[in-house]
Amino acid sequence: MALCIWMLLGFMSADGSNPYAASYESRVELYRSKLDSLNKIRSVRERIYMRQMANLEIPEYIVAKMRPTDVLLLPPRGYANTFMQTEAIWTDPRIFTWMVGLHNVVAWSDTIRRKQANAFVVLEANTIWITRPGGSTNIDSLLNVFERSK
Amino acid sequence: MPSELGLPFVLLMHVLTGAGILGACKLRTTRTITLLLSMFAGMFVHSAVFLICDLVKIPLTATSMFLSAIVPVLVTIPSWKTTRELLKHLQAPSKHSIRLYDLPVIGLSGYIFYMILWASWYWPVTPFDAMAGIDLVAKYVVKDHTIVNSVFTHPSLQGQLSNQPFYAPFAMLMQSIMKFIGFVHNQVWVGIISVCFSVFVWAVLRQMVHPFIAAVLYLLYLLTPEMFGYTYLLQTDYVNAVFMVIGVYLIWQGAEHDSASHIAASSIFFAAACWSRTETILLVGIGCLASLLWFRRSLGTRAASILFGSILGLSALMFVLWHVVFFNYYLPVKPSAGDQLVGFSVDRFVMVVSETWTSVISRIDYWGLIVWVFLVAVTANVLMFRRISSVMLIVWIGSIVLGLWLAGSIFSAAVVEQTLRRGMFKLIPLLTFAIASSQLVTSASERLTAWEMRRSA
Repeated sequence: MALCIWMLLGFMSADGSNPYAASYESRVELYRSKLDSLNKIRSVRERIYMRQMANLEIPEYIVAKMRPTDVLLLPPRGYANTFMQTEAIWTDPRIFTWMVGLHNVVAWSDTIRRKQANAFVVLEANTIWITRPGGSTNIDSLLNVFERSK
Repeated sequence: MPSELGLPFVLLMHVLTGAGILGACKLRTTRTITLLLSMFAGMFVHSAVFLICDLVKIPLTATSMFLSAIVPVLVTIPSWKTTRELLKHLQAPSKHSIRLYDLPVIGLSGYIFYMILWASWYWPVTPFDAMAGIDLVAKYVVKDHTIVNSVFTHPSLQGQLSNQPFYAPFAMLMQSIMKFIGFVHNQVWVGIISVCFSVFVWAVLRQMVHPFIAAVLYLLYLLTPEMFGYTYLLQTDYVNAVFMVIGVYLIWQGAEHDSASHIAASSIFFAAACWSRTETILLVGIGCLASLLWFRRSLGTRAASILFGSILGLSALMFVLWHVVFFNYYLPVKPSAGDQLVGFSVDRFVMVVSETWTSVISRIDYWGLIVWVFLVAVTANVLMFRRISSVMLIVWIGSIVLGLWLAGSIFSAAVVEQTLRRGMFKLIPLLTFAIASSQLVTSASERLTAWEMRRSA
C-alpha cells in the first residue's frame, strides 16, 4: 500500500506536478467542494449556461430577435472570437441548432445559400444586434469584415 | 414509465439479453465478470435492435424503445437451458472474502464512482463533437421519431454536417434510448458504463494476482488522469475502449485456456467495438490475423479459421449495417469520409509514429505511470526470465498500436494529439492486465499469497 500511496501521491513528473493529484483535484475535488451549491441549481438551462456561457446566450438572443421572414447569416468564427473570451462555437450551425433548435440560418461557409441571407449578426464589445438591408449598418462593409476575419 | 423505474428496467433487460447470449456461447467465468459482460452485451444488442426498428420503419418512441429492450430477451429463450445455468452460477455464494486492505480501495472507488455518476447525470453534454453529432442527432430522434431526421434534411444544416453526425451509432443510439427513458439532457449511461467497466478491470486483476497487488494496479488504472476525464463525458472513445478491451480479454483467455467459448463470446464484443467507432474494423482485422497464426497451432487451421472468420464476419456486418446500408439506402446525405481518406505514405506513417510517442504515449500527465510500469515489467520479464508472459495480450496490444498508427496515417481527420490520444484508452486497461500477468508481478503475488497463508496457518 505504501508503494501505491507513493505512486499516486508522492510521485512528481518532470514539471514538478503530480499528474494524479492534479487530475483528482480538477475532476473530483472541484465538484465535491461545490456539490451542495451545484445541486441547488435544478434548471437544465442554468446548467448548460454554466458550461457554455455566451455560446448559449448569443443564440438565445438571436432567435428571440429573429423575424419569421429572416434568413440569418451566422458570422465566421474568427469574427465572433474577437468579441468573446471563449471559443465562439455558436457560429457552427450544428452547435447553434443544439443550443436553440432548428431555425432559418445560413452558415458563413455555405457559399451557395449565403446570398439568400437577409439578416446579419453584428457584434461589438458587450453589444450584439441583428441588422437587415436598409438599416444603419452597411451590409457590404460587414461582409468584408466577415471575409477578412474568417 | 418514470425514469427512476425505466432505467433499472432497461438495464435488467440488458443483463438478461447478455446472459442469454453468453449462455449460448457457454462462457464460464466469475460472477462479477459474467454479470458485467452480460450488461455490456445487452446494451450493444438493444442499440442494434433499436436501429433495426428504424430500418423497418417502426417509429422510434418510448414504446418501441422498451419493446426493443424486451424482444432480445424473448429471442434468447431457446438458449434458456444454458442461460439458467449461468444465472444459477450468479446466485452461488461468493468465494472471496473482503480483507482489511480491500476497505480503503472500496471506499475510494465508491467515492469516485459516486462523483462519476453524479457528473454524468448533472452536467449537460459538453464536448464539441458530441454537441455537433451524437447528441444533436439523438435530440432529433426523440423529436422526429426516426434517425433520418431534420438534422440530415433541414436546409440550415445542408453541407454543414462534417463527419460528427455520421459517427458509428452506438453512442447516438444509447443517448436516444436514455432520452426516451427520461434522461433528456445528460449522459447518465456513460457514467454507468464507466463504473461497471472499472469494476470489471478490478475483477479481472483479482483473478490474476493477489488482491492486494490487484488493488494497487486497479487504483493506478482508475486514476489514470486522461482516461478518468472521459468517464462522464459523452464521446465514442471510452465506450469503444470498453468493448475492445473486453473482446481482447476474452480472446486472451481463450488462448490461455484453449477455450472456444471465450473466442465465440469475444466476437460479440468486437462487433460492439465496430458498432461504436468506425476505424475499429481495421484494428480487429489486424488483431484477428495476428491471433489466427497463434490459434492455428492450438485449435487447428479449420477450427481457428471458422472462429476468426465469425469474429471478422460479425464485426464486418455491424460496420456494413451502418456505414453501407444505412448511409446508402436510408440517409438522404452522405458523409465526406471518402475525401478524408489519404493514400498510405511512408513519410506520413513515420511522422505519425514519432508524434504518437512524443505527444501521446510518453506523456506522464496523460497516463500517469502505467505506460512506464508496463515497459519496465516487459523489459524485466525479457531480461530476468527470458520470456514474454501472456503472448496473446502483447500481440493484441501491438496490433492496436499498429492499427492506430495506420488509422492516423490514412485518415486526414485523425489528429495524433486528439484522435490517437483517445485511441490510447483501448490500451491502458490492457497494459494494466499485461503488468499483472508479467512474471515479475505474478512471482511477487505468489510470494505474498504464500506469506499470507503462513500467517493465517
